[in-house]
Amino acid sequence: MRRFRYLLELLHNGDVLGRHPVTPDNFAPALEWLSFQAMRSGALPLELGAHPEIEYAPVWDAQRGEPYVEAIRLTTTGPTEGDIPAVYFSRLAEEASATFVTEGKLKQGELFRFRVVAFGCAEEADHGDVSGNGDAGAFEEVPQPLACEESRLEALLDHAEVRGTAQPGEMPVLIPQRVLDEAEALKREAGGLETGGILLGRLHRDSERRELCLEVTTQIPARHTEAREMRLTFTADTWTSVRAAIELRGNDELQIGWWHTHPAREWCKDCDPERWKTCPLARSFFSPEDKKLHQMIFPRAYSVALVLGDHYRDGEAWEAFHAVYGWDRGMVSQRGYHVAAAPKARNEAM
Amino acid sequence: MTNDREQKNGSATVTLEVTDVSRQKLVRARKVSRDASVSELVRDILPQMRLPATSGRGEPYTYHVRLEREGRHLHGSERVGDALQENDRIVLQPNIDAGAR
Repeated sequence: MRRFRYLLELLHNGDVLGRHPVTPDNFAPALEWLSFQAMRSGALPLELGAHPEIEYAPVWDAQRGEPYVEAIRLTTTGPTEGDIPAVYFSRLAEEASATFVTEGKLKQGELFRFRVVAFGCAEEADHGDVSGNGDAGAFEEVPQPLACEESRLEALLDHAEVRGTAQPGEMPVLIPQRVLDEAEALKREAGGLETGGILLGRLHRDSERRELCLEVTTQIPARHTEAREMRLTFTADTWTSVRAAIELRGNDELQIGWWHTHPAREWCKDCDPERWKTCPLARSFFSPEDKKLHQMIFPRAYSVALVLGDHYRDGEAWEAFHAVYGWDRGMVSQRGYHVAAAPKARNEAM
Repeated sequence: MTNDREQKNGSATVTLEVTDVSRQKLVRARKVSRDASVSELVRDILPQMRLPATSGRGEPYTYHVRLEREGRHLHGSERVGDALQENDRIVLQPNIDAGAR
């Protein structure tokens, strides 16, 4: 199979500023996502950190052809495959632009474009090895089994309400209404300060349907955080207290995500109401800092983030909303979810 | 050639297990020098854990190292050979921001 080296080409006003290499590490979130897709279908065992064999192939730009790349097709056991679009490399392009600012080819804050190019290369330059180990043998990721409970999806999602905009092929995520209510109460309590917590849960497998489902079982309010108006810092002591809570609960739950608030109604209360209609804070968003946190703390492909915000609905009134974000092709984007009613309501409905 | 530390401990290096805060990523670090400081250990282990040393704006992240066996955070200046034992498990705990700005 032909091997390729991938590069980002940065452009400003139509001129090529230069190229920046795409390293194996840059593919890690996409590989994580693809491996998980293979686990969902049963093509790979439920094991974290196993690094299955993955093939890379450029999908050439339909108009310009080689070497311009529209997407990179990743294929693993199954076969399971996924196309990683050029937009996946946006953050890398942003980081690469700093070099061109330093070289004086681009001014700080100036807009630029980028595209992905691929060139055939020798086999050793392939992106198959993503271990990232500088000193071979000194560091190794230890594969760990991913605990999963055998369940019937129909039973699990029975009476659950679908919310948000589901992306095609995404794994179902189930959140109890109780968790949303608790987080909403904490949001109100915090007023104009951001607050947050950690989501615990477990994975379910429906062997018959060859599908997994993520169930949020509870939320742990984050302690020892530093809360400011538009920033929430999770500290080392936050993570220690979360671990203590998990052990105290004794249910072997996974840290499957986190939640935090964007109390825009409070942030914007002193602004001109006319500005609320167009204010970027008064709508659903996941900031670059939020994405960075999700990437660093919750890199597993099943991890989710819940945002409790306020939007200025139809330019008439503030309204609280919930949005769930998760991994899609190695990128963090908004996704759909199911809300399970309180147990009492479910019994009444039976 | 061995130094005093090597003679005392039998080996100049230790093997450690390092996890992230979610405990869903576990890296075994072999041949960690007993003479290294905890700060040096963190610097070397971050790329292996795929954790960044700095934010996109170039600001350094603060990582704390929690030693499971003793239930305490290690100080960056502590020496690996003094604080850690063979096969100890440590947790990398970053201070990290969420937010609109």
